[in-house]
Amino acid sequence: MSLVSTRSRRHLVLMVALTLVVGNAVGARADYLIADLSDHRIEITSGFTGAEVLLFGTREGDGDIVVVLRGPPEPLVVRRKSRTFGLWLNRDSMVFTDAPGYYAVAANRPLAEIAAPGLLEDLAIGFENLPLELYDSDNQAELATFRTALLRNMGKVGLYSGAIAQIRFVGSQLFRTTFELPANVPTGLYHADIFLIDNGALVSRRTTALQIRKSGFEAALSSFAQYQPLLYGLVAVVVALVAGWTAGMVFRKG
Amino acid sequence: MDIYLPIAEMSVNVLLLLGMGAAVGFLLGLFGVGGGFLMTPLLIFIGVPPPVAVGSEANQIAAASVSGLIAHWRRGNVDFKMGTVLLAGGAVGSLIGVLLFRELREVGQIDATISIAYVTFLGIVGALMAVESANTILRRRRGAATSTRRQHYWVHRLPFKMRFRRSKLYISAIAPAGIGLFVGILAAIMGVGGGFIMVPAMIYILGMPTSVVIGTSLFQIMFVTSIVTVLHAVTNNTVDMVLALILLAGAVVGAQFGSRVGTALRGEQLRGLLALLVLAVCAKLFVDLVVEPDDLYSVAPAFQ
Repeated sequence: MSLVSTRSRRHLVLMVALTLVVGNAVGARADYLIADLSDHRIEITSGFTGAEVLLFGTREGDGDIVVVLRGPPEPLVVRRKSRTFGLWLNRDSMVFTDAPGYYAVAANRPLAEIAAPGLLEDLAIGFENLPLELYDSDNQAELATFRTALLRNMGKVGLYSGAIAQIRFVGSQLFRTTFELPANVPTGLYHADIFLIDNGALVSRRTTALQIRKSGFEAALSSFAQYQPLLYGLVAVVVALVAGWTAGMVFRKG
Repeated sequence: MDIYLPIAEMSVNVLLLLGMGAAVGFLLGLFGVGGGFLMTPLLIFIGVPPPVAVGSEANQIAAASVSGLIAHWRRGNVDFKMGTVLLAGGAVGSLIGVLLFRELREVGQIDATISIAYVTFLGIVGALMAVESANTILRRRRGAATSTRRQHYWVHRLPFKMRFRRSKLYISAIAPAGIGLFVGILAAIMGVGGGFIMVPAMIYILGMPTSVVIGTSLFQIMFVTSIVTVLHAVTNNTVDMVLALILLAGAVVGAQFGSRVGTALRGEQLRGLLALLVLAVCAKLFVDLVVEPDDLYSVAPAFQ
């Protein structure tokens, strides 16, 4: 009884696998999309001044390529200054619960030529389609202003890119593009979504991940500071006092 | 040559930091005060987040005050009893300051508070020093004798009197504890040692002899900035050890040159120069507060 069941299960697996292979072969003309990043792990060490990641891939047949690179979501607060007793102080604020820590889009030609606004919106491609949830959803009136301010300010520090990066084709099938990651990139898990869009319709999509983390001494020190803050503070004081005392000794003799 | 600061989470040119450390150390050696209240605004000017600038600068001041304290202690210029009373107030003050700091940070007002505190105190101290040094220079030109007069009226009427042998004083403990408390709050919010407030207060309010003032204030500063460092590390996670040590390295070298140049200049000229410098930093911060910023909006990680 158990023998039969095992055998029939194996049979089923084989059939499913075969169907997939055949199905792929049939749809291969339009469906074929492979992409990868040059690095899947970026380590922030003491000399880190930013990084450049290369995304490359190949597609079969025609169709446009759009790539979205997105950093780990984090709650961000946008504050607005207004004049208070002659000083410019933060007054109104709005919290976005899961704004991506990094956002950039690349395409082989302008987005408007690739797909209709509806599809871009569905796929969350482009600045205007970036889904940004409000923590306090009551305040919808000024949402647009604060949203624009968020995009603008994140753009200023190089974390959001409003301009569409260029995807270049090498020959008719190979494509490549690069993303600039500034020195202040947040650490965490990044996702690159690669879309193959033909005649305004989504044909295929792939996702690949990128891990950015502090490494070596920087990682050790920052996790020490985060997880054992009391001990870290005490060590900081002892190191400082010993360093200050040593320096004093050196210069007294010299 | 850039270095990544792990807590500030930014990349800064290490030579720039060493240079800033050396410049501020030079002034420290030249004038004897002015480590923190120049360094913290400078760090903010180059883009270090204000909370990290404050926490790391407290750490650096602790280091910078050690060798001076030891030198004064060897010469017997530290009133430990007075220092302990100042420190008791300072410990309470720094706790209040750090908690206040966290509250203000959560509601998005810490940057403005730091700036306003700097403008206020740099403005007052700078103006007083400018007037005082100008008066001294004018008086010297006129050839009149300079008079030193101690004023301490109301301090003598407070209760809880204590005898401070080294300072040759019999005064209420409330006054030094109160001064310590106030300076502790400033240390926690502004990332300063507070010598520029404490030294005049010790001379003019407590009436301490000038010989023990610097050593005793260094005693209080070293312990209070150490406490502030630990408290900021625990409550705000804003102490960047790497930043503090680079600044210290620059400051140690700068201070040696500063103290050599300092002996060649006259006191009132030095104070006049320092006053101008303090007023310049104050003016820059004031302008940033009152001129409409290019972008009214700013983005920060949200606390939830």
